[in-house]
Amino acid sequence: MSDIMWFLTRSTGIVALVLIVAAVGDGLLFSGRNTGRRVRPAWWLDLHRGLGGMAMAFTGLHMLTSFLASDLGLSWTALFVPGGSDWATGAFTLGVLAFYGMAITVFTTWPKRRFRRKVWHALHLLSIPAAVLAVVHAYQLGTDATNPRALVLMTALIGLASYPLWLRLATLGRRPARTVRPAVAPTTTATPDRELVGAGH
Amino acid sequence: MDTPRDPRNPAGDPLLDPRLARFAERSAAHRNATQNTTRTGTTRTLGAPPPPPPPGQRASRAPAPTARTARPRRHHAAQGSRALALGLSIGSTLGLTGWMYAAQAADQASTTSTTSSDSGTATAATTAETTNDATTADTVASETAVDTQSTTDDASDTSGESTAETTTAETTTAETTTSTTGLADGTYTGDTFTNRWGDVQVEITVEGGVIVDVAALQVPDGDHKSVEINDQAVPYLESEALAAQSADIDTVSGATYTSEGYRQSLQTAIDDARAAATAS
Repeated sequence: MSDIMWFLTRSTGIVALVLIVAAVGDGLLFSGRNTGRRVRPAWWLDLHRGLGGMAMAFTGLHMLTSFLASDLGLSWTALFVPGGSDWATGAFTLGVLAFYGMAITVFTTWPKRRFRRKVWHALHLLSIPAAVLAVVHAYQLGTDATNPRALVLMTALIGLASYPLWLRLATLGRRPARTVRPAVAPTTTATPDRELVGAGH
Repeated sequence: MDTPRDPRNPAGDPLLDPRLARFAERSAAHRNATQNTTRTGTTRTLGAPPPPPPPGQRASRAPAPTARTARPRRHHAAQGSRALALGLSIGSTLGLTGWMYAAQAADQASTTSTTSSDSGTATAATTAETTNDATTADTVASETAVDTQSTTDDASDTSGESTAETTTAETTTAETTTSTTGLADGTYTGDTFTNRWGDVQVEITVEGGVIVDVAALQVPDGDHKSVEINDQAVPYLESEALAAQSADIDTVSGATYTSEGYRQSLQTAIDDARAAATAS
């Protein structure tokens, strides 16, 4: 049983890492207004939210299975208190901080309207350092980190996440292009238009 | 509903009018779809009391429809993509878990089968060496017996000569056994090999040209997981090394790094013992 929990810890950790990077990359692409014309912004935003929620869920599974893997000897303190682990303290601390960064990002999205936009945006940007900490945590503590395939995957993830990050930095300050719909009088309605979904947050 | 007309073209447009008619029909159908329907399927407007049930039939137990139930279901723009991502995530998790389990089972199976064959080989080698040693011991014993018998006549010189003969016998034993196994007696410490979990260093003790003890001076112990793994792996590696009388031992499943470092350090210690034997 402990072996199964150990394998689940490793596999959920890998999947959670992929989801975190995917969610952050998707969000950066969306906020950079580079979603293209073929895919609507609403689709990007919805996917970004879904990926973020799944990343959070798999991170929780990763923590739960690592606690249940008895041969690891992890306590609740090690899982939730930075520096609370008696072994590999640094690597565990990074993981705990990454978890808290992600939790703040995800759980401040639902009551978004209660925050001022700038405050909400600053809290949401915690997802980027959280993703970085998660990658470092995986490299330091991951049993599969020295596996060549895992190294290739990590390198690909870092590359895939770097592109939208640099793109977002390059488009800082650029206003989003708004689609202006022509005013249509009721009596002069021509062809029925498709229902357009509002863009933006 | 009348088809809206363009005031600039009251006569109608043969291409535009059908489109406007379809649009009007679609709008009317959408308006009707937002109204409540009862279980019997009759359509009624919002706020109106439910129609009475037909004779002989009970009134429907369905809750009185309210405006809230008329709200359309929320549509996720990326519903399909989210479902796909969720499916891939779950599938990847289960797939990776299964792959790791299968890899461990394969390692254990190969370790078990190789161990039994190696044990047979090692046992044969040990038996051969034991036979050699027994022959040597018999030779030494016979020589000692002859020498002892020859010195029995002079009791005052017995102890000295016995010691000398014993030394001679031991030297004879040592020379005979070293030439068989190529290892000089003594304690030899192997080099330290560092892996991502810590250092591994091994020390061997050779007596009569045979490795009689293998001790792990250093093994990774910086984390609880490593300690637990090595508590199980190191005794197994030691027994394997004693049985094989060489560094050709198998990797312990789950202790890959420790096994590799152990093997390398053991090899350097054996090389030192062999070099000492050659020098002498």
